[in-house]
Amino acid sequence: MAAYIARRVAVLPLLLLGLATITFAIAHAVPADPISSVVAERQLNNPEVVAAARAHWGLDQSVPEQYTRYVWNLVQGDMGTSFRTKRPVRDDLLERLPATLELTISAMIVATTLGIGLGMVAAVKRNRWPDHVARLFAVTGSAMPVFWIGLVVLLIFWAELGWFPGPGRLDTRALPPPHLTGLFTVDALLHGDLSTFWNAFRHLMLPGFVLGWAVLGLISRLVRASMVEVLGQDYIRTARAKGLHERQVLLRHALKNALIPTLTVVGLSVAGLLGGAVLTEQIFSWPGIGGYTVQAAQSLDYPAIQSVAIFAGALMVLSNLATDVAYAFVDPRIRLS
Amino acid sequence: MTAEQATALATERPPRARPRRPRWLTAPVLIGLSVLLFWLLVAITIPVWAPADPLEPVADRLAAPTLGHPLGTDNLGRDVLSRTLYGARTALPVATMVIAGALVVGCVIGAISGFAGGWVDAVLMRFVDMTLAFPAILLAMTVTAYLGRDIRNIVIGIIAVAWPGYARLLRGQVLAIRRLDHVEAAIALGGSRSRVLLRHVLPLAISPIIVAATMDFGGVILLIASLSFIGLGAKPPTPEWGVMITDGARFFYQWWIAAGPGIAIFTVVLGANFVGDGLRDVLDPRTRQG
Repeated sequence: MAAYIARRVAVLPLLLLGLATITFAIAHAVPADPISSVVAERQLNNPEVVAAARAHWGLDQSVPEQYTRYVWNLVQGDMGTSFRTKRPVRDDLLERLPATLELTISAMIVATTLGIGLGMVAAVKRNRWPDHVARLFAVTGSAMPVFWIGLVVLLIFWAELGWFPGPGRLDTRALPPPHLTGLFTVDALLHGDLSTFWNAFRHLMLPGFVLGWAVLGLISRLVRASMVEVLGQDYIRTARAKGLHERQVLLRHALKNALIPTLTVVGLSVAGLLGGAVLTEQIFSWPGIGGYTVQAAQSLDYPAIQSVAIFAGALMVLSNLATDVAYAFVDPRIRLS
Repeated sequence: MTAEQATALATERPPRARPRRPRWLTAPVLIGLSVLLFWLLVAITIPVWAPADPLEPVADRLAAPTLGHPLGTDNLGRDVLSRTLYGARTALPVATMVIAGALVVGCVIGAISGFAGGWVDAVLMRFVDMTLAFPAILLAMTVTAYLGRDIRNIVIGIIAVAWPGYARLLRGQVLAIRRLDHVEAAIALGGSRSRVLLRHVLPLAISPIIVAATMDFGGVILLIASLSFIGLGAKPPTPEWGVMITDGARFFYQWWIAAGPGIAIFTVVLGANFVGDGLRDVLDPRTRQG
């Protein structure tokens, strides 16, 4: 096990190099000249300004030189300077990371609890109306654009009913809790500040639900399928035959085994979550990486876009690794070698 | 799908007994097909019967829905219903182009990878793995942003993230099918690689790829809308669903502006997913479930 993890971790740098190479290749395979997005339009005819800008951004070097420097900078944690904010992209990302983490973790909690619950109900009541309702709910979430559900949900539950607070992480008058983790709910709890916790928590509910709903289909579908399979096994019949309560059979004998394959899918939904976060944050004015990405895309801020892609790719690689390792811990039948 | 299953599928004949409807035509598939057919008809015929011009103001700005304008008007006084219906003329062809492009690129790379083997295969497949490691929308966004704001660049951007799935799928198929007797025979008879591939391998490999392409259609529609929503796609005043929802978000309290395009996207994606699910259940026996 330790050897397996060590080997997987040892390959990580190679994977990250691959990710960096792909984004670099995209940037250079494309005929667009990034100089046009850093130099004002009327200065583009001024060769001196253009040359100075090229030298400043390192665009005057040869492609291999640029590549080596790019990778070397990345190794040192330098992701370049944003064209738009004129700050190091790394600082921009780190500053916004906690907001995105808090949102995606909440969404993940929504997606797994709802997904597992729906999948279980669907499997137990197979081909009856709870099954159909569960499937409809899951399918609806994945067929609607997440930014549109966000709008609809805000319109109904904030503007119309007033049950939930509007966009943002906190009420406008509330102060963020002292910075420890950057996750407002966690920081507030650590300081015993319940009112700020409640404030942040309520603000998380709508975006967390919207984003979770969008990705839970994958999970509920798999839980249903593997639950159906498990329920047909001999040991379930044995458990029932020895007179166990149905709830015990379902939760202790069936669900436990059905959840093993689900782990993979939870790992897979990280991709959907990161992608969906970009759009959800935009609708909910969430001050995270997603909104930053959209602004970067709109202003053609290449260093920022490129870094976000690498950053997200790295997160995915790590979450895949975590999934595989967790899988091995949970399922004793798997021997990693 | 294993090779045996593939051959079994390919040689299977429909039973002679008179089924009332084909096995694959389940209720969801029927609903999905009807919805897609509806939008296809709309896309083709809308210029003939459109309630209003999609590009010209026809009433007051931001007017709430009335009988004359069932989905109201947008911030420029244009009829939202007409714009929504016209949106199909962007969404459907663009999504089809994306799928077709990704299929071509993916199948060519997958076939090369499967037939060549060795280091070519290894390099190509590592590249595929890498590309699949990015969240699709972020990579598509990166490519599109570099190419510039345009619906055509969205096509390229999404093809760039969609092809690896097909490449991996076809490679697996090629590896399984090339060991079959008839393929070996064709190679022994001196058939060229491309001929063997097109005549003897592809026909057996095609059904899972068709299923995958159908299942991807909805996702592609969503990606197009998402990239347009972000501001990378269609330029105003093009009636495009993602852009329309951006307007709807700006004029938040005029809910009808985003309602039309939202429902349009939802129905197309749902329809495509229903059809894809139905096709998969029939063509891919592994996933058939109780």
